[in-house]
Amino acid sequence: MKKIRTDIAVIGGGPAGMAAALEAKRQGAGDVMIIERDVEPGGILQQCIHDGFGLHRFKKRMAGTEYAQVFIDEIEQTDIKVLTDTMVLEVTQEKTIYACNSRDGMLEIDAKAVILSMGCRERTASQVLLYGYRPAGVLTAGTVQRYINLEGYLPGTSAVILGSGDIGLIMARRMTLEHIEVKGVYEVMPNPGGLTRNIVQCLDDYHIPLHLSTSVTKIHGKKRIEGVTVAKLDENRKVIPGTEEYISCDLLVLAVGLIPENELSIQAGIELDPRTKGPVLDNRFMTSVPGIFAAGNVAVVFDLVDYVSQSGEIAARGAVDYINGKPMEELSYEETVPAGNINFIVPQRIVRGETADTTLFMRVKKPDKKVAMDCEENGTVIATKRYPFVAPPEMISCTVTVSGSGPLKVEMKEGSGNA
Amino acid sequence: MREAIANRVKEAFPEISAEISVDERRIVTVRGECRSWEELVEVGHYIAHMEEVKNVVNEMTVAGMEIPHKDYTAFREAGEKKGVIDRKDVVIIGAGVSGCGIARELSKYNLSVVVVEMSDDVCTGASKANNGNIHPGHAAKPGTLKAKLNVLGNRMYDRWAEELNFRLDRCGAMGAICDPKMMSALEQAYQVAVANGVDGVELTDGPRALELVPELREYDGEIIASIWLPSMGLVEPYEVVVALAENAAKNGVSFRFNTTVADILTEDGQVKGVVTSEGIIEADYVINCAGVYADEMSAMAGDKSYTIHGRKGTIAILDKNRKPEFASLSSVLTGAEVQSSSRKNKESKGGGMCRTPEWNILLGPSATEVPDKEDNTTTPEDLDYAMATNSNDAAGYSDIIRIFAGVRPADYTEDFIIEMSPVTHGFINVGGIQSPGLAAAPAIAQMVEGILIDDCKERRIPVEKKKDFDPVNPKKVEFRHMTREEQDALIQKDPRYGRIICRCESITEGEILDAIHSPVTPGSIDAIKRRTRAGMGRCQGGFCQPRVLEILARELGKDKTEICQKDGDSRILYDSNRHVTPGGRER
Amino acid sequence: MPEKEYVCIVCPNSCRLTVRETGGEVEVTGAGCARGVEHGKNEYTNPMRMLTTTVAVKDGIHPRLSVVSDGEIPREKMKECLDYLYGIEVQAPVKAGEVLAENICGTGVNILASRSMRQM
Repeated sequence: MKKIRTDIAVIGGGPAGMAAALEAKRQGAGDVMIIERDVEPGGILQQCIHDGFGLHRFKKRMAGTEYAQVFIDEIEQTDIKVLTDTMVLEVTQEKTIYACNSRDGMLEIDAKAVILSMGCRERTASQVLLYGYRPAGVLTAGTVQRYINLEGYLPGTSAVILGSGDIGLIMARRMTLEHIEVKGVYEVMPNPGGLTRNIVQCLDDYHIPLHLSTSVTKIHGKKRIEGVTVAKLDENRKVIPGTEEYISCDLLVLAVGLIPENELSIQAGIELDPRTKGPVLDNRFMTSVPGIFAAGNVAVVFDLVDYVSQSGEIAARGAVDYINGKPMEELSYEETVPAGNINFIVPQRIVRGETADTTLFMRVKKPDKKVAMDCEENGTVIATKRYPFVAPPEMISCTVTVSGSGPLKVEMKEGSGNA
Repeated sequence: MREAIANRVKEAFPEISAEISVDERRIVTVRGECRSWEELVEVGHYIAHMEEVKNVVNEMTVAGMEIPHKDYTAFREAGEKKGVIDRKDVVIIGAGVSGCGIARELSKYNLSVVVVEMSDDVCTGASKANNGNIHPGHAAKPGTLKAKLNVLGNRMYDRWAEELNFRLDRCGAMGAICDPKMMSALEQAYQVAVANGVDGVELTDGPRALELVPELREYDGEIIASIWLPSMGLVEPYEVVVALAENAAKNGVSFRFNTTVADILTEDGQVKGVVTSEGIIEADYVINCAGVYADEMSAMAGDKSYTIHGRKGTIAILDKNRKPEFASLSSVLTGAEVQSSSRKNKESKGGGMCRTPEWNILLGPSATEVPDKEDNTTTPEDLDYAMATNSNDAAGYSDIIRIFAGVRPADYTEDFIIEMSPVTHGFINVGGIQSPGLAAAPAIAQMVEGILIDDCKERRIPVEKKKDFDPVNPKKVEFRHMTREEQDALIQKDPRYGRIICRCESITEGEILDAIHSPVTPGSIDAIKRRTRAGMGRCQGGFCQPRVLEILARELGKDKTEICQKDGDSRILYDSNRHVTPGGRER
Repeated sequence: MPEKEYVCIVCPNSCRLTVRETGGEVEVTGAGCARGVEHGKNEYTNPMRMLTTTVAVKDGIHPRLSVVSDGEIPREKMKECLDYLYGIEVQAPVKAGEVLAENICGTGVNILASRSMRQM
């Protein structure tokens, strides 16, 4: 078994991992290695050919592939080692990584610090309790995207999309352009899951109907899917009897949510937050296991790639500090506490008694306009931010200087507007 | 006799005008109209449970309901047109665990055997959609064929597992009690197990129970007694069936998939062969292991002697991250489960909570009578039933990674029907093989072997055992179960084991290639899944399906658009979407 | 008097815009800002969109190469442009930013590779 030593090992070469590796280098880290399971770095961005990426970071609208390319090109200018086609099978608390590929066999990689950036996976038909038959032609949006954008195949001719998050909307347009008839987008919730911009440019432009408070209740077709039953839902998300309707289709695309892919984290005994389904993080984005950090969608589903990269950089700075001997074992923590319209906060805790610039990533519970958000540490307001508009699909982020003197409460009072 | 039965039916179901006829074999045929499917099934059971009745052919209808019937006409016409395509000593209909088990048993002899299967692969019906329990035989009614073959089959599994190299986990099962009021029920269960000859069954006191199942110490109440069934085993059912089929194929049995039997040829009371959708196969023996269609095959052979009513079972598989509480299949019986199950289905309470050999929690199956034998739809009600068997507080709906359902081929006696047809000689029925059919499979195979070989001898057909019969399947590479050192050595020897295709279950390209180039070639995504577990994990193939599809297309020399998920027209990809057309595009 | 409704996408406020045309004059109501008015006019007269799709690539590590327009194109020209792009095939290796189609369908907009692709 081949043994390798490295200073920092980054697991996953998507946007979080690439940003983390580059930032680690900028911070003067020695050996940095990215372990990537696919044939090339870039992660899911390599199948995101649509534009709209990078607005925050590069102040322009880029295709997902373009955004990834910037990081890939930059990595090529460094001595960061990228192990592609390599699957990590295990990470231990001692920061030993077992990974394998066809060239090297099994690798035992001893890292001084590990950054987890494995991303997320899509929820499936069984996970959202879709009933009926289990025919071919029921695919997640990401799989459909891969077939069309990377492989050049069509997985159907007429489609129903379940889920109106941005992924569902983007695929509605993409499939339409590829001559797949999109019968409609169905959304369980009373509000669309994606951005207005995408509803306009992906659905309205192509006259694709969006059905809110509606779900797929049954899948028909024993071999290839032949259709679905859709039905209206009441406010408790129960089917309203009599509203069932049969829609014929040969493809059901599921855009029903993402789950951070934390199997390696669980194996390593890392504590997870049931709300984010990612590791409990401190303001250095370190997990409950000292020296193991997390970044990107494995920590929490960010949606916005700019934030994903940013989180990678935070974790990288933490990892470099850790290697440089900044004490991080047996730290004590103060919690971050969401209040009012704030649903959750990442990081979940901050280091007690340490002054640090801390970036908070948050999601709200419901849409609102013209709202103020107070960050209150130990009873004292340390920062107030104002937002003209907030909505659950759009994560909000702000950087505050905390002292670690007590719990950090972030409260967004219900605003005047009811968007 | 006819009148007595008719009177009893009239008394029990006064609203129904049932027309009863009885033949010399004491097989009752019932006609008339019921008000619901459940009632129709109930009438069938009611008659079948009469002492003097051998079995029931239920030809009743339901008011306002069209009962789905399979139409074989097109298949038969296609087959007749193609004419005779093969001639074998034995045709086995159905590649489930019964069919493949019998095929492997018969492959010991100098007999030519073909297995015909309507689906694209082995193990696609009831053999697949079950909980993989190798039941000890304690639950079957004493004196039934089921009870006898269950206990015998269970015992024979060790040898099967050893020769065929599939995983058998003799985990044991315990029903423990805290409530003294449950004692008599426990003793009764023990008496049944003893009467059936269940291996190693023990009626224990509390301390002994805790010794056998230490996890019970965590239980809140004081365990006072238990029934311990050490012979309870767990398998992955498709592993068993694939192993049987591969070994049979290795020993000369041939398989014809996507082939529907549409008629049975007979002449002067002797079977002559089968008409399939792909042509006629002549044969001296036809063994009917057609699962839910067994009654229809038997009728085609002129032996209409039982009716299969489909009983659907829904199963939920949970994420491996949610660990089962017990290594064995153990639970504390409170009496509530008996009540709740008796409400659901009188003939079968369905399954409970168990685990797979790979340590997923498995819940169910439920038990719902369905008029359509191919109705393997999942429903909210059935899932709720399966989920209600969960006793792990930490586990719930959010841990589900897969919900599926299958249809049990139950007849009205709720027993196995294994016999040479008294009407059509050479036609052997293996019908009504529902739970514990998986556990009984080795005994069923042995029994059918006996029937057939004895008959050959009687008919002076020379049969002898082959000298080159090889009962052993080599052990399959299972990357996930190896140590890191073993994995490394494996990859150094063959780099294709270094490429992980299914992330969730750690399945390598090498394992998929092993499956593709095995004696029974899998052609579909699901067939690969059954052989390797690729796609069986929490992402349900979202990541690996495109890779498996690519490997299948490459290895089988097919276009990607030809690769199907399962049988029938279930292809995944349509046309390559954009063909480059020089000088512009037409579409 | 033709009238059309749009949801403004200039900012997340999502104002409901109503655009009326009277005697060649285009009037926008419902916008919360001047950019919204501008957006409404553009959507009414000549909506512009970015184009992203894929083209065939020979000898690449994937069969398709993602491409992007270097500016917005009239929405009504979208189909024509896509149809043109379906017909071309490029040869790996390709560098991101490489122009693959100049002045596509007379729009004045170029189509660029939105990623690099090495040769297999």
